[in-house]
Amino acid sequence: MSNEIIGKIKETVELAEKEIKNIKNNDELEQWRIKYLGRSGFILSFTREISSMHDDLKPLAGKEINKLKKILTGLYEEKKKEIDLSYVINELGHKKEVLIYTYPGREPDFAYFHPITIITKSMINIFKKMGFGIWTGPEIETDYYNFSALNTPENHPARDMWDTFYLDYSKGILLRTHTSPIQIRTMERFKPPFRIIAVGKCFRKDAFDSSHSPVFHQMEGLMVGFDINFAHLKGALIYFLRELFGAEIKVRFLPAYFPFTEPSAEISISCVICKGKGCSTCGGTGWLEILGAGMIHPEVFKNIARKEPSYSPDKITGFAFGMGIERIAMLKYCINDIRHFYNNDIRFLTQFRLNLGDNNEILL
Amino acid sequence: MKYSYEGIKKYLQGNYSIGDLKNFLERLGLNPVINSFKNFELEIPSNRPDLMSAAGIAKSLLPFGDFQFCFPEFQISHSTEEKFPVEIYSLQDCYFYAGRVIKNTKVSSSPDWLKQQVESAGFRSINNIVDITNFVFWELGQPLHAFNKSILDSGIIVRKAMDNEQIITLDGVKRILNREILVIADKSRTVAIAGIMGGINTEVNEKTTDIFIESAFFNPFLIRKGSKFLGLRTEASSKFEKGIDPQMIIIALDRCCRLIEEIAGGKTGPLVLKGDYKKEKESISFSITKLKNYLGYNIPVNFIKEVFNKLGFELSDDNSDVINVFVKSDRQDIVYDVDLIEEIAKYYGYDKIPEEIPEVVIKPTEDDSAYLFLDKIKEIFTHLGFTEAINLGLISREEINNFEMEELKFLEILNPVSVNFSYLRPSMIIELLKNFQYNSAYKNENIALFETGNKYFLLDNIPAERMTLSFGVMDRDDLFAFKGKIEYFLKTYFFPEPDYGTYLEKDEQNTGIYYNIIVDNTFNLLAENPGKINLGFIFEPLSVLLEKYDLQSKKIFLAQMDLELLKSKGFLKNFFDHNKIPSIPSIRRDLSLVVKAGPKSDWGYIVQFLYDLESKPLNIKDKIKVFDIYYFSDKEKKELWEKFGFEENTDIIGVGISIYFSNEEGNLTKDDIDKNVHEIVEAFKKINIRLRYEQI
Ligand SMILES: [Zn+2]
Repeated sequence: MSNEIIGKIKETVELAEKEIKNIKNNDELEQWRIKYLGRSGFILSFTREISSMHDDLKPLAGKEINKLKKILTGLYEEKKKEIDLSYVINELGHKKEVLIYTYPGREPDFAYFHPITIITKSMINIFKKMGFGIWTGPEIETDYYNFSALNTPENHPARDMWDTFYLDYSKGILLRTHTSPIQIRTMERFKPPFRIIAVGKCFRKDAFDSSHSPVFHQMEGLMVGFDINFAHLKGALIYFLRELFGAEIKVRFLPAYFPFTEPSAEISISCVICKGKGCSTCGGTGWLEILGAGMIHPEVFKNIARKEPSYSPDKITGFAFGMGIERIAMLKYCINDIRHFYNNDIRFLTQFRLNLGDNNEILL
Repeated sequence: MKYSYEGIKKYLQGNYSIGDLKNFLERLGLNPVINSFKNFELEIPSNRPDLMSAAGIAKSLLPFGDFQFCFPEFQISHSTEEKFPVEIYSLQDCYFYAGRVIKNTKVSSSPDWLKQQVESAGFRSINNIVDITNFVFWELGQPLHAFNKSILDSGIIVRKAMDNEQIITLDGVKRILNREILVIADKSRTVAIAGIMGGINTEVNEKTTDIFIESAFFNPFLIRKGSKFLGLRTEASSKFEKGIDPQMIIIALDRCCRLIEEIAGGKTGPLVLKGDYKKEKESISFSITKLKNYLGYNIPVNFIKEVFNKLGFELSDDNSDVINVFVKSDRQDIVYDVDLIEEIAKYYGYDKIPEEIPEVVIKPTEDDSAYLFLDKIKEIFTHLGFTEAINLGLISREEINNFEMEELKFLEILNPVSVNFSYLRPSMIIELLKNFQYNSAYKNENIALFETGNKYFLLDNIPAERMTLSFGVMDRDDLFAFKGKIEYFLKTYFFPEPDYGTYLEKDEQNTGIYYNIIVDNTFNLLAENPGKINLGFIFEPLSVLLEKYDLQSKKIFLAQMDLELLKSKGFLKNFFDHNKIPSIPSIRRDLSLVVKAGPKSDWGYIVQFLYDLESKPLNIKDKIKVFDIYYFSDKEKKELWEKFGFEENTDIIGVGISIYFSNEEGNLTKDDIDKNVHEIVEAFKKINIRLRYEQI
């Protein structure tokens, strides 16, 4: 008796599968549903058959019928989905096929500027608005341009501020430790007044770890004229910092020492991470050191004036400033390991976009 | 050295809290860091040795309020007449030398208060005598040294060391000296490296009873040089190299001797003095108008004068705009009037000077053409699909060796930070391959990178750098796709002619294949060899190199180009007129050719050959393009050898070309073209190129 019913069920499934394959639309599917799952359909007729069976056999047969019901319902739902979708596709005039349009598009061969380039361009754009010209210079420098011309003669204790790589001790050939040699070279080139930004790679004898690098990029500025003063230095730099970091930041000027400027200042902004409350980025102080700056030291002008008298410190004044580009990029992009800039991991490099304002309101 | 609120309070009396103190020190730019024991350390700039003592710090704070500088009164007992002879052999290295003998003192461990004092200042407590010298150094900023006098052989001599002279210093290390180092000696041996560290032979210990205290002024440059040469930096040397206050030499000596009398007992001898250092009292002429113009702000004259007074600077007492300021001897950082301006600005507060945007001539300063050029190159290469990389440019010798580069004189850093960064890159592709290795290790695929920067080399024995471009692809392009980008770059921006790409010269090396990129250098009239010039190369690394970088399964092409050559050529200008676009469509014929290997299979040669044909089947306006390069299967080769009568095993490839015939008059007929194609196919036979089939 039970074997008989199992056989029947098997036949029913085969038949139902065969029939549903040829179904093309909802009407046909509805007919199929009534035939198999409807009030007078197969399922009910089987159920009725069971009720007349011996009690011992009922549970087993019941299970089989439930299985059948599941299979048929599954077939129905799958077909229903297929018909619904094919309807949409047919409306759009496409052939019924694998739903390929839901698959992702192919990635183009994307390309990006290095984040150092991006931040440098953003910074340069701000200074461009103030009429600064952009200058570069050699990375292999002489002692004169890197130190002596900047009022840091040999054996000057201030030289300890720049741990220097040497290529030739006797000739004093070294890798520049800052972009300041460009300032000297630019003063040799232009007569005052003028204003320039110097940018480039610099080298210092440092380890390569998360917060140090033997190579880094610097941006310096120089403005020379007949009545340039400390208030102007403050004005230009506060403008720059607010453009770069947002109008809401606070800027702090404190005394500092550089042999080539007097007065010298160290400039901090209120921490961009904690807004001045104190966090690990700012060492709990609420302030981030960003720039070194000052009024150009008369000794520096005197060195230029030996060749070009218009640089006599009696006639002109000027201000200069400098900052590390990696540091600014790290603050702006919340990067915590300087080595990311030099590994050139494509997963890192492709995260930064040029010409996307990185300041919400300001498009740089 | 470390200081504390209580420590400073002893020398600066007045009403101020620890918070005020921190604020004052901050306003002086000293970045105080206060630890949990209320000790603080300062970042003292190298031009302010006067701030390397408690008394010096106290004096610098005077202008911040109504404070009193105070210092304990003391008197030496002078209870022995014993003198000790001192001789200075080189007065230009030791300006001044003072000393006193103390007899019958008792060396023991320091009393608790002193021990605590020196330890909180950052010194190790040794014994009462050494601790007192360190305490007075901390207090007054004058480094002092105590010798065990009974060991000294009949007097002190200050002289230069001899080459290879040796001394064991107090830290137990044997030091080998040179002629540039100043030493303290007696008749028979060296007893100290002047201003840097004492010798162990005259160390003061518990058995010592008679001592000699030295207080001197050494040439700062000599101390700095000596300390650098020896790699030995001490608190004393770092003070001496920045300069001491000559006025403090005797005061500190006497203070030290008095404290020894009080703490360790003993009889002090008379002052021994050598040297004749005298500094003229110089004044700086200071203009109040200049200060106003220099700062861009008018600080009240009263404030200015008050600051100078509180700092102890004497002023010429007239009320004119220009006043003479006599700076105190400890402030050797103040030389120019701008130094005085900074002093005033500091005490006034930089933040209180209102900012102002400079008014300038509207004429902007011009830009550096090198910067503009690089900027444009970066833009073009990102448009070509290359992402910008920046590398350190510092590499190891091993990395250079991997590439087996020859005939290049590498630049070595004489004092590298590690062997990994001990050479400057002689080529820009070395680090690019390393970048591919890094990316490959992280399963980053399909990479194209470029970098602009310098390569470095020795040129006529002088270190030199050259602006260079490198770029490369990993699993992105085949040789032709890569070369196509180079050709596009050169043709679009620099060399519009000739029309069919750049000329490459193959050079096989162990590590890889170099294809030298040759261009016409007639743009450079100053070139030594007018004609062709090597602009750079494409490099296809071979497995021997790829394996070293774990990149063996990768398809990599690297390239390097000389940017200074390209810059001297300059970007093509946009023309005032453009080339007229033919109104008649050109007619295209595709030929599938079989090219036999040999010197005449060079593409440049083939094209030139066609243009040079006497019958002129090609018009100069006609274009030839390669649309396919095809490598035959062995079976196909066999058939083709037979078909064209080539010897067996002749190397052949299939090349599909399209010829675009054009004629502005528009009178090209099918017959004309058939005739031309026929002539071309016939001519090709002369250079072993056969037509496989033609598609019309
Ligand atoms: Zn913070």
